[in-house]
Amino acid sequence: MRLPPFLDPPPLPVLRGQRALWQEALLSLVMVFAAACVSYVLMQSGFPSPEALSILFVLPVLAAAIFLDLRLALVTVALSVITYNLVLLPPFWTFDLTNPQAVAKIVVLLIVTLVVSALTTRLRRITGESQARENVLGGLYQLNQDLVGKTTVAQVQAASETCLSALTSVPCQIWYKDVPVDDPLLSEAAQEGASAGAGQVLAPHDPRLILPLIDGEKTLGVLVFTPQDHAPFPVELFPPSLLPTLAAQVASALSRAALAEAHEQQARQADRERFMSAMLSSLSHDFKTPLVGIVGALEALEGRVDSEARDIVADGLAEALRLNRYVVNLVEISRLEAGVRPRSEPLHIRDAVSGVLRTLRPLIGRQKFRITVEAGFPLLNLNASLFDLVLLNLIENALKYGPPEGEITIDARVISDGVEIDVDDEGAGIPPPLREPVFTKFYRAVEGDRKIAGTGLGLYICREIVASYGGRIEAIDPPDGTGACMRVWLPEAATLRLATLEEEME
Amino acid sequence: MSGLQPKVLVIEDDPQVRKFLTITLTSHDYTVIPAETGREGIRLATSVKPDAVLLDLGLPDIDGTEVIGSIRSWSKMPILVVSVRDQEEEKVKAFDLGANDYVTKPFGTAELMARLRASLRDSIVASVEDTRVEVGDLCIDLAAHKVSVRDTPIKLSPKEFALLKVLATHAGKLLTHKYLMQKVWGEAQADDNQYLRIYIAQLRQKLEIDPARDQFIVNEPGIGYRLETPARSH
Repeated sequence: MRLPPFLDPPPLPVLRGQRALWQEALLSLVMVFAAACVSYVLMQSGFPSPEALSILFVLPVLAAAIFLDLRLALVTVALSVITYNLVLLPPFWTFDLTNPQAVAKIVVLLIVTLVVSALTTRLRRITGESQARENVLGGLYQLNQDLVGKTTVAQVQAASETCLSALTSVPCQIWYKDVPVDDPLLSEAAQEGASAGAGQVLAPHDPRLILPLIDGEKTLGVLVFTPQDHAPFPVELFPPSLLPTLAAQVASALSRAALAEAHEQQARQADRERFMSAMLSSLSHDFKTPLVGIVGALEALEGRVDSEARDIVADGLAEALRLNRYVVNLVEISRLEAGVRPRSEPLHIRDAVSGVLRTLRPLIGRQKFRITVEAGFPLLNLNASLFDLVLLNLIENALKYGPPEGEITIDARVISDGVEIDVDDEGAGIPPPLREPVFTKFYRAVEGDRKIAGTGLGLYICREIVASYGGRIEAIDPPDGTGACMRVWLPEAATLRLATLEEEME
Repeated sequence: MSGLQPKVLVIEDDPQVRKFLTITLTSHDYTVIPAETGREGIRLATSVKPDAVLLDLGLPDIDGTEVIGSIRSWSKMPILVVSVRDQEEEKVKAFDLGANDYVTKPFGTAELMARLRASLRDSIVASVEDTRVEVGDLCIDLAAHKVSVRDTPIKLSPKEFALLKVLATHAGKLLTHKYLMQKVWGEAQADDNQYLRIYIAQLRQKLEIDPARDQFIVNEPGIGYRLETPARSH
């Protein structure tokens, strides 16, 4: 039977090899036997003071109390007293307690050996404790040394693991933040911020020792000692009451490193954003400046040529403007991916739709538009250029894939957790298996061997923009049964609740 | 002869764009004074005293917004910003400094000419009290308080009419949210432009009988609104 070492730690041996209890018992028996032999031989050879030989029987007790299991010290006391009676007190080889003189001798020996064993035990415990304390202090110092100059969480983690494993000679592992969920004990320890396993309140029979890493109020993770081959945790080296000190040190080093990392990442992100912003605005400038020249030149030509040439010029103009839309998509997508978040402002859905239809006017032929905005539809709170880009891509697709005389419906509604905007055309629609892939970057609609012009960025950027406001966009089953229907959902956070107008709302 | 033609100072560093602007403006009977850098532009603005300035924000020497500040310190001449910087922050900054209008590259000739004409109108012709304003298919009779789109009469509430009236009397010009709020609702509410957006939306709903064709009111995010003058007037 093994006592849970942390509930009832046995006094600590100073030096103790890895011997089994039965081996130690045999050893104490041998020591008592040796003492008996020596005293017997001395007495037979006419030792002048046989009484003095009783002191020899104190030796095995002393040795047992110093070196062996403490329960054996008491066994050795009993053994010594009995052997003393058998070997040194007449009548020899009999256990006779009728002689008062013999009884007195035995009692004295018993008291002396008991006191010796008790005092030795005490001494041993004190020595053990101070040894353990020294180990811990040395360990703390060592850990401190090892953690100096470690600036990342991973470095601190690795250094602490190595150092603690070496100090306790038990393999140690640190879980920072993502404690494995498939190990319920680890996650429980992390959640409760309590130590577990190896005699702790939580799961005392688990052989591992799990210590929470707590910094301030937060549990950062857990420290797990996993003894090999089911060996007990070597509490003699590190008394459990002192281990939390080590854990706290690891925790504070971890949180310091995490803070430094976060800070550095923030600085890097800010740098990156500044750089990307500058680069993108120069990119956008470089792309658009020639476009100004092209558009301007074509427009200047438009008024000076005959009607046939005017058609050609108009085509060139339309293409130049399309190129411009691609450039805008490309620039905006890079901006979004760089994490640049432009300013939000109140925006009315009608303003947005109207602006987009104005931009797309050259592309609009005989298509009809039906726009319904539910009464009470809130103002949106987002960046107008970005939201315009969403509508622009959706409506451009509806124009491109819908029939030339079809109707495009734009329907804006308020729902329980936000707003929904549907853009619905009367084209061939999107088959259900393709409704998700169309949103992937560079996806291109292919119909037989016919490819419809586009960069494959339009819907991807729509999704990115909507997602940056916590919303969703998906291709849904068209409510009217025909064509494609794109549904944009925006959460309440992307809208502005209006103070109601007190005058003449119609 | 050129003294009768409005003089436009074009501050633009890109030679191609400068050339195209010069040709276009000249063919529309403007006299063009080209400038390659911001400093040169400021110098010419002082010495030549043009009727209007076309200003690119991305200049090699100083930022275009600095040019606006410098000109505004002594003159009210109309300044039209021409830039690829389609970011609202830039636009708003240029407006706060006193720019009158804004075209984003790439822009069409018709659009640019319409903006320029609108900007010049106030400085050349002192407000003409027209009673009838026609903007494409939209017809507004200011005296009779009547509005129609392609001869379909539109019924507007008094506030909606007041708003449309302000936009129409400055047709083609960009009016800031603040200006519109002041004109229609008075000083007290000059800063709350949420009403404005709602009323504009109501106006749109009524005027845009065919949403694909009738986008009369143009939203300039972050700045304000304009009533678009008919495009393609060569």
